[in-house]
Amino acid sequence: MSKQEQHFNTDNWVEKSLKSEPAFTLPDDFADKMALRIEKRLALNQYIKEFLIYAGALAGLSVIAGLLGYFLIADTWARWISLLLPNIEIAAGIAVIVLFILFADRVLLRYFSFILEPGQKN
Amino acid sequence: MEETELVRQVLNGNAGAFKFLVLKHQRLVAHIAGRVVQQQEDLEDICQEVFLKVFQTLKKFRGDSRLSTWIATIAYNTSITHIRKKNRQKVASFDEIPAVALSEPGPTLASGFFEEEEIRKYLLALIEELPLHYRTVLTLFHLEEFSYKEIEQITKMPEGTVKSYLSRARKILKEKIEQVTKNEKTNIFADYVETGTTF
Repeated sequence: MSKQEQHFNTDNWVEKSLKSEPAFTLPDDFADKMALRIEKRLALNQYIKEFLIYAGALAGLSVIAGLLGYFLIADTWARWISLLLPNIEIAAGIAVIVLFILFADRVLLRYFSFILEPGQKN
Repeated sequence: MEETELVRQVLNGNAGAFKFLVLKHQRLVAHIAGRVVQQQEDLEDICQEVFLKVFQTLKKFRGDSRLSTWIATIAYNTSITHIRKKNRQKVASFDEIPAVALSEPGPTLASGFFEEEEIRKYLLALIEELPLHYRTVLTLFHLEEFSYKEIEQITKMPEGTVKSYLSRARKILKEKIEQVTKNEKTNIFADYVETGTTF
C-alpha cells in the first residue's frame, strides 16, 4: 500500500476518533434532577414573594390603624407619641410574632410540604 | 420548540421547558466539562452548576448568538474555574507547546489482535492526553461542530489561535498514530493499512 493511501487511512482514523463520543456521561435522570431543583427554587421564590406581599399589606394596615388612632384618640402628635412609647415593646413584640407566623405559614410550611411530597425527594 | 420560545417559557417559570432545555444541551455541557476537567466524579456537580447558572442568567441572553454557544461559554468558564479552584491541573497558556507532543509514548495498547473498537478507544485516550486547550478546541470543532467564530466566542481565544490549535492537535494525533504504526511490537495500524481496512 502506498504511503499516500496509508496517510489517507490515518486521516480517517483521526477524523473518526475526533467525532467519537468521549467516555464522560451524565446519569439518565440528570434532566429530571435539574428540573426538580429549579421547581424547588421557583416555589421558594414564589412563597417569599407572597410573604412579602402579605407583610406589606400588614404594614399598610398598621399604618392605617396608627393614623386612625391619631385621629380618634390623640389630637396632637406629641400626645399620640406619649401614648405609644410606653407600649412600644408590646407593639414590636406583636409585630415580630405576626411576621414570624406569617413567614412560617406562607414560606416554611409550604416549602417543606412541597419538598416532602412524593417524587420531590432528590 | 424554537430557541426564543424556549427561553421565553423558561423565563416565565416553566420547569418543563427548563427540563427540555437541559435535555437538549446536557450532552454538549457534559462533553465540554468532561474534556476540560477529566474527572467523571465531578462531572455531574459541574453540569448542575452550569445549568443553574444558565437558569439564573438566562434573562441576560440577548439572542445575539445561538443558545448552544451561550451555554457552551458558561460550561467552559465554569469548568475552567473548577479546575483552577481544585488546582488539579495546571492550565496551559495559549502558546504552550503540548508536553505530550511526540516525545512521550502516550497510552499503550496490549499486544495481540485488535478490533476497531480498541483502536477507537486508543485514539480517544490519545485525545484525552492532549493539553487542555487542544482538547477543548477539538471537542468544540469536531464533536460539537461549532464554527471558528463561535469557538472564539466560547473560549475567548483568537480565531487564529483556534485554527493553530486544531491543526497542531491533528498533527500530534497523526504523528502519534504513525509512531505506533512503525512500532513492530504493536503493529495494529499497519495491519489495518495493509489490509486496506477503513472505518
